[in-house]
Amino acid sequence: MAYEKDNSKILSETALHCQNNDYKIIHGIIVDTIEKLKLESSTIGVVSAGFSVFIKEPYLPDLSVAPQGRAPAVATGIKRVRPNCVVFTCQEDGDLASSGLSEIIHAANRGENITAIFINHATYSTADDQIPLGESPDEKPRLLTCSFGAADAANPPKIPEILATLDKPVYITRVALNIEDNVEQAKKAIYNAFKLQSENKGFSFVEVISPRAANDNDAIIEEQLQEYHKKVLEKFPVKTFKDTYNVDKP
Amino acid sequence: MTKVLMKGNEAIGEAAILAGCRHYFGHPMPPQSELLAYLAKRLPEVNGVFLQAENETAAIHMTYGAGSAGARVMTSSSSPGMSLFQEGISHMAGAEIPCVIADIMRGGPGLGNVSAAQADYWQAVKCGGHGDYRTIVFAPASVQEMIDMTISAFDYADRYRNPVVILADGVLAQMMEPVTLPAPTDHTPDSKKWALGNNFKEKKSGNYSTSIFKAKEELEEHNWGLYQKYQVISDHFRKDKPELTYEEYLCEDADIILTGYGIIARVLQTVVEKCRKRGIKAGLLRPKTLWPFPVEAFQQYAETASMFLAVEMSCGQMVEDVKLALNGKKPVYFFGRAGGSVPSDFEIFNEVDKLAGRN
Amino acid sequence: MSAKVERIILAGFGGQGVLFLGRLLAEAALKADKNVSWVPSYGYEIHTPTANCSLIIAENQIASPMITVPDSVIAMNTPSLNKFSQKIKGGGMLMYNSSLIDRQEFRDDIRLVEIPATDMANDLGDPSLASLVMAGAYAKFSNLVTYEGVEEALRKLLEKQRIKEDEINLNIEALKQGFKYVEETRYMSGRYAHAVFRGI
Repeated sequence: MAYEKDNSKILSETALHCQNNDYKIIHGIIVDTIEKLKLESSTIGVVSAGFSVFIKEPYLPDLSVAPQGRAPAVATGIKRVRPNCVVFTCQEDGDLASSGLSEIIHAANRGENITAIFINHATYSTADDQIPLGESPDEKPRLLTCSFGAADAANPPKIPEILATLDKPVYITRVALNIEDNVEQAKKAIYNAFKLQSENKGFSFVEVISPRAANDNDAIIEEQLQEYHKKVLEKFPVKTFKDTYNVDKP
Repeated sequence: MTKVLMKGNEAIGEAAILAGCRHYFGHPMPPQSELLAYLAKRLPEVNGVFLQAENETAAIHMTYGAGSAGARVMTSSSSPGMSLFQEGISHMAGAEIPCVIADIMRGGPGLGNVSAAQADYWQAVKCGGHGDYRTIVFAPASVQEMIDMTISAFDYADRYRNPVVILADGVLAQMMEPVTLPAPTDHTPDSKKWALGNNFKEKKSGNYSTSIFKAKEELEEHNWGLYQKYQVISDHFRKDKPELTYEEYLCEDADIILTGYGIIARVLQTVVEKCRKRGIKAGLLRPKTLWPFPVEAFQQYAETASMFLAVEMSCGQMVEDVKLALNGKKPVYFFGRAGGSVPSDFEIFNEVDKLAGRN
Repeated sequence: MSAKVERIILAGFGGQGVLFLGRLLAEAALKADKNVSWVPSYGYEIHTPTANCSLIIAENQIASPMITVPDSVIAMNTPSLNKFSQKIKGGGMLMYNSSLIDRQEFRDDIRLVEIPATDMANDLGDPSLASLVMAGAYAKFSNLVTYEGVEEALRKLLEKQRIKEDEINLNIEALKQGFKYVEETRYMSGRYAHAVFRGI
């Protein structure tokens, strides 16, 4: 081999970018789930190059950083080679619902035995230059340039509702992190999704509503945030859309 | 060994299986579709995975996933699909993921037509994706070579952790010739320590596959690291395996050296024979790898031949590499047909005849 | 016809079986330890009335598999005959399906072979057997493949496709009748006779 890069360095570098609070929560839930289901030696994550890069010491799953939108296809390739591994994807709205709408729909439509975690900012905001925190989807975003209008551009479709029309997915749900109860629900949902995959049941999908800008903003006003959160949840209600194996039932 | 008649498309598919490939992701597009049809039938017979992806973009990224999990994996398409592959190829080159990509060229640009063409030399050889990267490119000229080169392609992809392209055209893919099939080799994804899903127990942290390097210094280090790898690949072919990079026919005493790859090289051989019968000292120098390009072979004959004629099924793409290789030492002429036409031995002969008169 | 190489263009409507006919002769040639190349027309061409394939059978290595000047043309319909008959090498052969092609003024430097292939195939109950009638007829003229070789190749190809035995026998009957037609019939007469007998 002529040349091989040093992976450990890259990992510590990318770790620095996981500053967002919701990510910490979501990643924490995923890691706890992996540990609860004892999947440490068989989990492979496919994440995007944005902020869904995954980190929690000391445990690290095997990771592939997929190009924007392509995670479900990459995960499909991995799963087909490693059917005994649990393969999950972690994508945001700009990644999953915009660039990669085709990939997620077809992975679901094939009933690919993977778990897709969808972190929905409800604004397509993933990078520094997009919509700042607290801005309503109805307002014209300040930092978006030229022809980008909020109504047209910053308006992700309702993905679980779309996927629920397909035959093969076994578990499709939407959760939120704004209040304790919702966080508990999110934990259950992610656990269910991983468990279904580990039992070879089929495609599972969890949307997590996280209406935040990518970068933490100094001017966060908690009340503002809660208000905005409510508004977003009106459009994207917390709900299980498909549950073939009744895992959500108590 | 007994010979069997095989179509070029089928030959690539069978060769992939013989090389230990058990994963194929693709999308049908003529004139490459028989390759999918063949593997759809054959792969399940050997417990392999055949998946017809929703489109070429998905296919190349499934290939990326399977490659990063350590499998010997292949995808294929024809020209317009190859354009969609470029994103994934760039990512794979950056993340150093091995895979084999068969590109059966058809007429372009755009939808063009499904007839055989060689208009994607630049795309495959100069790399149509973004970033500083290289892919090894094999150019078979017979159905037997489609088998031999596909098998080599898998070996080199793994050896250098790099995408390898088989660049052929519609005629080669559609034609049938007798072939000898070599013995199969086994391959297991577990043999690659770096692969995802491997090595869970031994390691402290996860295996990681990425092409993102956020710090400038890191990316630059990676870029020069890749560059160094490409140099090693180049040197390997040049020094250790020149026979894999070109083939020559009657070049020693040739005045005019004809050059072309793929199906054109076959027509050129007929032209050379015709030339020799008519007293024109022509020879044929056929690149078998387009990257690395057999520069030395051209330089060697720059000393003895008086001119070169590149013939392609395009408006002239490889001819630029011929000129670079010769570095102005001898004149390089070009003759091409585009739009999906294969130039006939007659029209090429006339061209040579004209040039010989000029001599 | 040169003994060492036979360059044949086989052409007809899509569905007349010209690609299979070429494939069959190619398999027979391979069994006879010859070099062979078979290049089909494909894509939109396959839907035109001149779907065709280029077949080269040779003792030596085959350089170009493309045929500019065929030694023989097997034409199953009029458009194919019009497209390819002018390209035939002087002294070469034009074998055509006289059931569908009207006799017309041809070049006088080639051998003409009329086979009422579609009529013969219809007599056997299946017009799609016409191409096999032609294959049998061609075997009579070839220096590189034999009738027995073509018959064996046909049987193997059909067995591979899991065709029923009586169906296979019907296919072989078509092949045999083509061969016999050439053997037994003074297949050309009148003003074209000079062309027919030249070189035989």
